[in-house]
Amino acid sequence: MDNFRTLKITIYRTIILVLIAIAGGVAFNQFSPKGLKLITPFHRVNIGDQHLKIPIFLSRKLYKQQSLNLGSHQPLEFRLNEAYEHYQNRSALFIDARTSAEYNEGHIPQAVSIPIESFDYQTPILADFPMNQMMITYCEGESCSESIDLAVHLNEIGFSNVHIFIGGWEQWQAAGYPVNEGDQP
Amino acid sequence: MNKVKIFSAIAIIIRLLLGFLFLYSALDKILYPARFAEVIYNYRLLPVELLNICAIIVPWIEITIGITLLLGVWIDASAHLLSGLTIVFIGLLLSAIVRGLNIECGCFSLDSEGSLVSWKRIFEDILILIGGIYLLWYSFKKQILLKSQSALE
Repeated sequence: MDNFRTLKITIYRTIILVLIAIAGGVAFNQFSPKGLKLITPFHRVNIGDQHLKIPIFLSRKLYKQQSLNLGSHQPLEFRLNEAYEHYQNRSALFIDARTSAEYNEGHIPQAVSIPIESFDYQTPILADFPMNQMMITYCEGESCSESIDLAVHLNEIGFSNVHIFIGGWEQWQAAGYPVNEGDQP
Repeated sequence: MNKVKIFSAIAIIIRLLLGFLFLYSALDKILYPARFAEVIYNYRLLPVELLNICAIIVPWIEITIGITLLLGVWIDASAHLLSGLTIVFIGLLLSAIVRGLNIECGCFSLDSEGSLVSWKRIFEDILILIGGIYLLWYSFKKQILLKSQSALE
């Protein structure tokens, strides 16, 4: 009988500890500058019969570690030399996913600016291109994730030939390749 | 009598070791919640919506365990929670190994080197579990002993 009561007390106490932890975690998260949304924001990606939910924090590292099962729409990575080759051949549309201010300071020539935060499915510039247009997204460098998010968005709306230039603006600049300034491609 | 002393000395050592270990484990996860959410995502077990809430609460469960163990308060509940959590961790690690996932463990720290999921991590968790079960057993014994003593008085 005593054993049973001891066990019961332990279970009650455990529940109280869990409640304290939940309260502590949620309160801390509320006030922390690095706090997260309680419900993870995500993109919905529909490919054929497949419905995928991709969390928005999906970062470059994560993307590199795993191959998202996006079927034939999967965005592929391009290295610097591949990106440069397409630039020279004018065989791909470069898309700058950074902010407009960053784009104006300098970007890959011919690249159009689609800041990820202003992306919407009606972005007029996209209407000009066929769905199989080769696209190469990029952002600041290896540690940013806007280019991946943008590539995922572009896949969502049906562009089937989207690539990500992982090295981004930093590698392009470091290689001494041509750059343009201002708000025109 | 001596035996009792040895048991309680062992309990104190385990308490302190696990207490510090759990506080240490929680630190990185609290400092970098988004990174921890990614680590959880990599296990591919939770619904996407629940990743953040899990990343927010799990480190605080570890902190609660760490503090109660160090202070010696409610050891029974703390050891109970610790054992349960560790069993869940072992299950997660096993499932990742079975599915051939080569992912960061997220066990003790979130450094960029990242300790990967491996049998070694499972072995470590089993040691922690043994510690937790010992504390649970010890605190039960102690409570029952205390009760029978006070009943005698």
